[in-house]
Formats: sequence, C-alpha cells, structure tokens
Amino acid sequence: MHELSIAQNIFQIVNCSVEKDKLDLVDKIYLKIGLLSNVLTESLNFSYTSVIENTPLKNSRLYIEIIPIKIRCNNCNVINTSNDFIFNCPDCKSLEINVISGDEMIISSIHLKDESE
Amino acid sequence: MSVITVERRVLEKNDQIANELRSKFRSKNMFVINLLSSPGSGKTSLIERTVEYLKDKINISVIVGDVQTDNDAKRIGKLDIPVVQIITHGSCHLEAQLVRDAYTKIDTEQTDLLIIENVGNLVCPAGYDLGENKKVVLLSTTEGDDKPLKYPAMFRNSSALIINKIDLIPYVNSSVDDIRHNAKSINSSLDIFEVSCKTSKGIEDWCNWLLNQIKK
Repeated sequence: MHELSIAQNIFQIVNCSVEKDKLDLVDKIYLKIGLLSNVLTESLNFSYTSVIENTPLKNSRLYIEIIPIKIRCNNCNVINTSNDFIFNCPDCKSLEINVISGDEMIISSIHLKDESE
Repeated sequence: MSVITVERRVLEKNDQIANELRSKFRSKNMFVINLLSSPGSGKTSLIERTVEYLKDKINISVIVGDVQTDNDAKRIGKLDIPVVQIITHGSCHLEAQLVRDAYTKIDTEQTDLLIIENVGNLVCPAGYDLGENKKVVLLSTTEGDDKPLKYPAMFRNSSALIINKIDLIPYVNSSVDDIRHNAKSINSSLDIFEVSCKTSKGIEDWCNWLLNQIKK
C-alpha cells in the first residue's frame, strides 16, 4: 500500500504548485507512471480520494498515463518498448540492456477550472 | 481552463533526503546496504551471521525496520553492535526521512558498514531510495523459484541477490539454477550468493563481497 504515501506526496506537490486561493479550482492532475513503479492505478485513485477529503482539493481527480518499459540494448543499440517485463533484447537476445524509461513517477501538469465555471 | 506545467517527480522529497544521506554516508566513509526481501526470508538471520563473521574486521551498525515490535533489534543487539529499530506502525516500507531520524542515533565515527534492514515486502520498498550504496535482495528457497519474475522491479533495482536456506533444498521443490536463471533474466548484472544462515554455508563468500565493496 505505498500508494497512500504516493498520494500524500502528490497532494503536497499540488499544494505548493498552485496559489492557495486557487486550490479549489484544481480539476485534473496528470501523472506519468512507469510500469516498473509497482503502482496500482485503482489503489492510487482510492488513496488520493481519501487524502483530499475535506481539503480545497476535494474536487480534483488524477489522470494516470502508464508508461511502458523502454530498453536499449548495449550490444546492438536497438531500442524496444514493451508492456511486459522483458529485460532482454528482442533482436539479439542480449541480457546487457539499460532501462531508459518505465520507472518514472512524474506529475506532468495540473489543470484548473476557470473561476466562472 | 488554465494549465500549470509541473514536471516534478512524485517522490522528489524522499529522493532529496536520500541524496543528503548519501553525501553524509560518503563523508564518513560508510558503506551502506539496503537489505530487502519478503517477510521470513531470513534478513535478520543474515545480519546475525554477517556480523559474527565480520565484527573482528570492521565496525557494523544496523538500522532495522518493522511494522511492529522491536524483536529484531533485540536479536541483533545481542551481538554487541549499535542497532536502531524503526517501527513504521503499518507502513509497508522505509522512507528516507525515517532513516535520517534513525541515523542520528548511530555513532558515525565508528561505523564502516551500515546495514538497513527494510520492512519485509518485495513490492513497495523497491521505489524508495534510502541513500544506500547498494540494494541487496534476499530470497529463500522456500518462497518459489519464480519470485524474480513476479517482482521484477525489486530484482532489477538490486545489485546482489542472496539465495538463503539452501540447506532446505532437499525438502522443498526448489532449484537454485532456476532461481539464478530467473533472476539473471531480469537483471543480468546481479551478483548472486547461495547461503544457509542455519549452517553458515556461503556466508564467507557474501562477506568477502561486502569487504570488497567497502574497499572500493
């Protein structure tokens, strides 16, 4: 259940990224979460809902984009993207690879409603 | 509608504290491992055997994390080395801030090797940097040889794998070759050790690896 800790971190970052008097206008929070981060989307959404209860962010929602695992082969330099946990090169089968994305956990943007909405 | 571009890492606060810890560890010439496994794999037993083998050669301190009880700190404390217990009260992993608080209770001038025993869990601790030099994952022969395939992030992020309870192989359906093969398919650069904390078989090889890392 590290999703609760992650939800609390998101809450804190949004709180210090948006002016105080506009927090209640926060509508959508866009996240990029790599497959290797071991984050369960449903669990993160649930945790976030409980973290924002009775706060100015109570109407905000998370929009989570899952980032596949991208590996580069150190042997033949081929880059491969996969939604599976495969850590060998599909071309030359080498195990000497580097993960170049898929382990990130990033808040990319925050969308606010207009005050008139 | 207005959009604020953020592009910030969700765990940036943890990472910042972990980097501060790493600088402190380096300034004290302290080598730090983050020891990870499922509950019951033998992390505390491994620490006991490691301390017994190395305590005449180097100074070791331990920070141990558990959801409840200080049982592990009591066990390790019997070996007459500094040990600090962190009780997480439900949290399934250690975070850098908890280690920072515990670190203030360690005698930094007297420690060559700091072992951080994480909460038993193969999922959540993988993503939290504690400022360690190396993550070391422990897997026992009773858990299922395909654990590296089921929990790839943990094995991908670790530098060494210790296969424990090899004395039980005749009694359980386990193959060290299969564990090695599965682990290498996730992370080909893993250094792998086979040990029994019951008989101390293999502890020497593991401790020599630690000594070599400390010298680097």
